[in-house]
Amino acid sequence: MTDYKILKKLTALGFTEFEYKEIIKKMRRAPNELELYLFSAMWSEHCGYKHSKRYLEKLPKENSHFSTENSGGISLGRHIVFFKTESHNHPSAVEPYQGAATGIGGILRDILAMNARPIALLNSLKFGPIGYCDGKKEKLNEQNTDNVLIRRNKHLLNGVVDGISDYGNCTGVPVIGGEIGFNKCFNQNPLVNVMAVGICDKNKVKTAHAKAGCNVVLIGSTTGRDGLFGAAFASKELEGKVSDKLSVQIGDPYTKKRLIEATLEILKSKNILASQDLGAAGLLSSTSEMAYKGKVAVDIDLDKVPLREKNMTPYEIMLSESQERMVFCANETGTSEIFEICKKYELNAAVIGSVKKGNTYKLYSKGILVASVPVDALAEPVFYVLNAKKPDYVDKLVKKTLPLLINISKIGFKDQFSSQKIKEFIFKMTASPEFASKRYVYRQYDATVGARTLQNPHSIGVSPLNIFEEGKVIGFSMDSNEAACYLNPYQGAFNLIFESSRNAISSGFEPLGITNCLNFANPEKTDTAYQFIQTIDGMADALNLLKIPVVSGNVSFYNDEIFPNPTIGMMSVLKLKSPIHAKFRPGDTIYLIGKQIDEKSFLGASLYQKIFFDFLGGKLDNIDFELEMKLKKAIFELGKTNEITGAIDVSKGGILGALLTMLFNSNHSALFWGKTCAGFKGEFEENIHTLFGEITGRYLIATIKPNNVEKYFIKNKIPYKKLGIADDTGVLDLGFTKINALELTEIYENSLERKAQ
Amino acid sequence: MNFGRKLRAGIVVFLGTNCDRDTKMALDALNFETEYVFHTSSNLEKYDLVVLPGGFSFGDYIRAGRLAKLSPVICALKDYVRAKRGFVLGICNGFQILCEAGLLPGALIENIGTKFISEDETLLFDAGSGLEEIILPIAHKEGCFWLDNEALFKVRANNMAIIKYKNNPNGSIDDIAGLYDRENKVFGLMPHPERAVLKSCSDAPYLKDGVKIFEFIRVEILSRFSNVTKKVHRETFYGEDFR
Repeated sequence: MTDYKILKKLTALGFTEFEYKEIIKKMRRAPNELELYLFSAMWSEHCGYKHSKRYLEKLPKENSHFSTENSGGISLGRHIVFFKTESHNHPSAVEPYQGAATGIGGILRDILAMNARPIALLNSLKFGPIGYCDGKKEKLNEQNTDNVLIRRNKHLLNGVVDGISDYGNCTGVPVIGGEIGFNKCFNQNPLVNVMAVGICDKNKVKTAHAKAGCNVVLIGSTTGRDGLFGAAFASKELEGKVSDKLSVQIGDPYTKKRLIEATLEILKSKNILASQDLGAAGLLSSTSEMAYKGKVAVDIDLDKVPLREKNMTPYEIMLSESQERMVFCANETGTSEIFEICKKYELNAAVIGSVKKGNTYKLYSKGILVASVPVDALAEPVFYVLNAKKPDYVDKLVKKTLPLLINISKIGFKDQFSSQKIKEFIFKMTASPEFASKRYVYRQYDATVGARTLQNPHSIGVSPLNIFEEGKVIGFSMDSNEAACYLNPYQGAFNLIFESSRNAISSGFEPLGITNCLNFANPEKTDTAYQFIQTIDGMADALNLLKIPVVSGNVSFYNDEIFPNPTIGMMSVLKLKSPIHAKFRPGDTIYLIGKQIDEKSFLGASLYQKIFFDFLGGKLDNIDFELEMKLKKAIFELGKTNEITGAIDVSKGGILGALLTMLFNSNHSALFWGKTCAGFKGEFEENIHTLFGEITGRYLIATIKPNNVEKYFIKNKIPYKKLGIADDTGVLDLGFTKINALELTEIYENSLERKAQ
Repeated sequence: MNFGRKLRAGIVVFLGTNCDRDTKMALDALNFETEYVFHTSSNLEKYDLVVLPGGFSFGDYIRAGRLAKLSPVICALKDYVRAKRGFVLGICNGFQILCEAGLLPGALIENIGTKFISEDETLLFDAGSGLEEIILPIAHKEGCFWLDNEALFKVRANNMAIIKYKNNPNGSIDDIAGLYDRENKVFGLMPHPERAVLKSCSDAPYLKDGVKIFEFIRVEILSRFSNVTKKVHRETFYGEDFR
């Protein structure tokens, strides 16, 4: 190749000239075309973490297990619970159904490779708005850009949900919870972050360390041209071309189900020494990673790979991301065991290579050596230091406030006009897709298969799972807050960790560890680099304070135009006899505990700003660590003596948001099973900040023994305030306004469905 | 009635079955002796109860249960029913297979809203002593039960629909959630009783309603045996009298 041609090719493959020189240095010669392709995939952001690795090392790992493997986990005694998140943003933007489905498929294989049976799935989905913001009337012009975007966002939402529903339900792994959000910044790139949970006996965990003298055995689907260049595709910005579609993989849940059962049966054998799933960069990354981890050489014979299409070239075979495949490293006995089991499950199996001593990764095609690369050169890309600069907007937005807001808070609710206005706000917030019940989506996922699920999604802060093996109940939740992380990346990420742990604590669970999925725009831009570094710092500081580790994670860059969106999946363990629900019963007294509100309380990045004014600005609140710990202790201690009947943390929508959520959860059954309807009576005389302000360190709790609870608060110096009493009148009485609770519940339950169609 | 041994249950496993483990756990907890039966097996004689658990049999790409009905185990199941050996229970996908195989009348078509539904549903269950309200989880996409008029007449006349939805979620005719053929002891239902058996720490009151379904089945199995014993006894009696 001439220099010009090489340069053109390098750009097409996403290389810089510097990286090309590094490759030559590591190989001590120029790579041939195939070798260059191999490097392009392995050195992509998706496989190599070349922009993020240096920073990810800041995150605490203490008390996690196998955190350098396919998936890390937390020990629960004799068993380890593995969990990991993964993003499938780019494929889902192009082909939502298959994109989301194969996202589920990919994360399940990561768990499976550890010899852990997948027991639950969660997802965090982010889309552009699916309706008009307040104040804008729907325009009749069909070709209006907003209309086009809204239609596309609805299409993406329904496609992604269908994909997860069809794929997840068929594999028999329950989808137990997660979150769904909407924001303008996701108009171009929706986010599809999926999390899988698996469990495995401590002594039976398999890793990806290959050993010399073994066979490399590939099982599962045949290899085709689908998902070609998927890893490289996920490492650049989408261009909206037809060719983008070819890079999306196609999933087959029935084969996946057989693959799960076959893999778990295969991994029971002691003759299987290593296992690895085929995800990004297919056969190449799985086999080379096995070699790298085991510090051995691998020879692959491409003619042995079962193909589904004719005339596939070596790089197509190596980089195909055909789904539903696993690779094992097995001795001779193990190999025949694999063949036996695959026959039972009607899956392909083939010995495609062998493991040897050394450090070379060799590919043979038709008997000819077509590539020969040092293993460590492939696995260790150039790690970059990001070029970060504080963006101008950070200081500007902090100073911005809502002019309208001040007016209302000065007038107070006694005034007829503003009390009517607040009533309107309450209806509007209840109906907004951000706040409304996500039941429309969650009822499409099988939440109870596996018989471990204790609660259908969303009537509780975390989704509880029964771990029969240990006699324990563990909880999972997924959280993110793109607006806060945009406004102040450090504080946003810091608060996010605490918010997520408050979710767990409010249900009676103690946080044990997290997995993260870091969704950002282009890291080569200084703004994004700043956001990324700050986010990691905020997250690391919060985790160190709470002493909980990051067990696994994923980074997704090049999500054009999005706000920084770190998604965290948290695992927690039940500290009480039974979980506390975010509900109240007639007769319960409702208390606010934690930070009390004053006029200076913050509204920065709150739901209130977004829904009513489409505005983002102001300050984020800080964390009072001592108070947080005190509140946790209080909830656990009062929960132990059964003095708390319901609890919720105060987050989206402030106190009013929390109160409404409790009311709606209490009413869920009333609406569908025709029982009596819950109501609430209390006095709210203050201002907008009281109702909607999103400051940290607060919970609402419901109790039947107000005297005991108050005594406890006074004794332990916990700030508290009585908000009111729950009843069965079906009326939400806030003092300044009265609302029919059943009518409001109906809006809450069905609003998303109406808007999504 | 003391039967002298545990009731034996065979749990049929197709490659796409995904409720097999749940069903086994539930039956074990309810003191059944359980075993998996792979779809290639045709030996069902030893079981007092054969369960077709939920899942996606062979992927269900054509229609739920379309391929499963041709498998060796379902062919053997037809003989098992014909010989009146024991009880057959089909849950969710199992119900779909029973209908496909002609062991129960009707068919299950796509839900009226075309979407998958996973929900806790209130059901009206008639175990023989009047209607009882129970709550069980449902999780299906093809759960809308449908029949022609003639078959519907028979179903009504024989009181086969012993389990019905209170707030029909999927458009099933007559709100039918499950059918029981008393004569042949074949019972199919869309809700998942096996997911509502295990002791759980949730405060939801309904999570044990699945037990009621399995206890009903136990009674029905035992009644079959007691009928058989009675019949044998009567024959001997008549025989002696005649002599």
